[in-house]
Amino acid sequence: MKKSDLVSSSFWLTFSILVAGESYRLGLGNFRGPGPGFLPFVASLVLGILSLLLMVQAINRKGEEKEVQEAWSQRGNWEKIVYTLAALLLYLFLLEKLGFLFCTFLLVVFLLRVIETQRWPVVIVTAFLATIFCYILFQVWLKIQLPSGILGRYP
Amino acid sequence: MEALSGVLYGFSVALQPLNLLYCFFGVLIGTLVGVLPGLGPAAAIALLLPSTFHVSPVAATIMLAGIYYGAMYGGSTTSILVNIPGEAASVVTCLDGYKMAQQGRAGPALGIAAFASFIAGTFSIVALTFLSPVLANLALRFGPPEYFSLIVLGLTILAYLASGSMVKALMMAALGIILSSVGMDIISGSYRFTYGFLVLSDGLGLIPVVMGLFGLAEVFSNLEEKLGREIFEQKIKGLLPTCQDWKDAWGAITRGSLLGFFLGILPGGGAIIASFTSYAVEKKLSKHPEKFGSGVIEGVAGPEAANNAAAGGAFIPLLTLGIPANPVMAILLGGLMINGLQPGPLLIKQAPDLFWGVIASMYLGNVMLLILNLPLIGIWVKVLRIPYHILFPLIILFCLVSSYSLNNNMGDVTIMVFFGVVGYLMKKFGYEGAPLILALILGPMLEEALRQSLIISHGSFAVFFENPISAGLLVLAFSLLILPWITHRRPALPSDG
Repeated sequence: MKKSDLVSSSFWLTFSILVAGESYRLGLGNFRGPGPGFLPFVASLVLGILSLLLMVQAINRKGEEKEVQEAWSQRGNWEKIVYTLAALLLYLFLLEKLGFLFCTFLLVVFLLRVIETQRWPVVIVTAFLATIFCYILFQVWLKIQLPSGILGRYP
Repeated sequence: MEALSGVLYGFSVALQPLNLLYCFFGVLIGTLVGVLPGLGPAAAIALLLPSTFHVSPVAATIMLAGIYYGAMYGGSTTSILVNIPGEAASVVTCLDGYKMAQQGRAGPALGIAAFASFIAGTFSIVALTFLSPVLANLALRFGPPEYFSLIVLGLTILAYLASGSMVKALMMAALGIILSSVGMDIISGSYRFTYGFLVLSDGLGLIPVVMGLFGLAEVFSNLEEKLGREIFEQKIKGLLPTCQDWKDAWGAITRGSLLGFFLGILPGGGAIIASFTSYAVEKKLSKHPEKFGSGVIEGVAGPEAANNAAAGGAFIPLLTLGIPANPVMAILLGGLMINGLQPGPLLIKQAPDLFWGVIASMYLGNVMLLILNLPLIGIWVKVLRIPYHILFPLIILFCLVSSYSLNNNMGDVTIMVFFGVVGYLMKKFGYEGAPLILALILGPMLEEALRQSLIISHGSFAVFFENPISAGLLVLAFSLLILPWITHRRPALPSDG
């Protein structure tokens, strides 16, 4: 885990410095009356010190490169994750514009067809059932106002 | 006897038809969650929490609790039949359970798992019934310094027992505290780290974060790994263990129950650690330790007893101190607070119907689970055959809609997706989610206790050491931090996924 630990510890170190700076800006107060920035400042100090510790540990460690290779070598399917994530972001963007039923149906179709390459009949039926199931569960039964869109009154 | 009259009153609450129905829903969903890999109890409870907002807090808590201990039953089924743990607390059950199934003894393995779960579950509820009023009374004397030290100890224990690097676990706890400070500062009223985002002004919601870290992130990891599952194609027969089986398993069940219960109570402890410890103990005590891993019944009975006992024990710190022992309890705490209830020593007086009703429902729930998991095991084996490619769009969909339904806005959905990505990366880089979640919910309590203590003491940190309970807790936390550096070893545990 040497390389990945170096990467992650540098990230957290940078993050903790940013948080410490922002906390300082919020006002640390004093020990008699700690201000709003007090706890986040202390926590960011702890995070920063631990990141340094992790970094030192990683530098001192040797001969575990194989493990890293293994952890990152199964990246065969990483496209799936990127596509899924892109679909989710698009869903977030379109949900309130196009409405729940439409977007949800499309999302499930995408996930089943593009990510999992199912046959079309399976895709359509599953997407239809999943959408209706969620609609009945949340909108009808739990009375949650799902976003309606171009379909007007219907979500 | 406060406990006896309390639990009788509890049964009068839990036996109300609606509560009984929700208890049944809970254990049913729990078993389902346990059986289905890719969805653990923490994510499931977070997903279903919004759907309980329209029922009474008692019914809601009864159901959510049922999911938690129900998952402990269901998890063993997949471990034994498929060699894939349905949830993390059943990882060790795979070792001997699957071997037993391969040798044609799937029936007794499933049987002893269900019975051990039932015995240990019931034992821990009895202990919960009698211990919690006593502890609640004791906790009434806790002031801000004691609470501060207790929370510090809880986070330390969690890091100490963490599977991977202790440094990383502590880092996640610190990150959780930073994240918990997002939103309005209760004391000064100023906004922190909101940067103009309206959704952040009430703070980072626990539920969308849990759904992201334990729900969506899990889906991402599974998409990458490609789950291959081979279901054990054999008729399951003879679910009732024989006399010899009982003789072999009895000691393991007893020890597992006790061990699990005490590990469950520890803040930062829980079912996962309990099951691993029980397996290790049984192996050590056994007359034939070399046979462990080849299908011995003690290797199934002990851990299954331990994880169920721990599930019961975990309710004690939540109900009596208001401090969650693990992420699942943190979500339950969040749910209670949404309903305007503050778990803690006063809960038993302020909401006796909830306190005793939930405890009593757990007796009933365990009986239901025994029935669900023995005569009806066939149904769950069928559920196992649901392919993952049908399952994962549904999990994603539930994460989306459920987080939307929290406040009817897109903000929580965005937070959920964001933490889904964060959780996936955390997994990749070897960080655990549990300390982050616990610190996220404990953060505000920690901050309040710290700041109040300092105001009381006029800025002197001595207040934490002058008080004997607080000093003791802090010394304990400190020694846990130092111990691994001196001895260079720590109990090694696999990841809790």
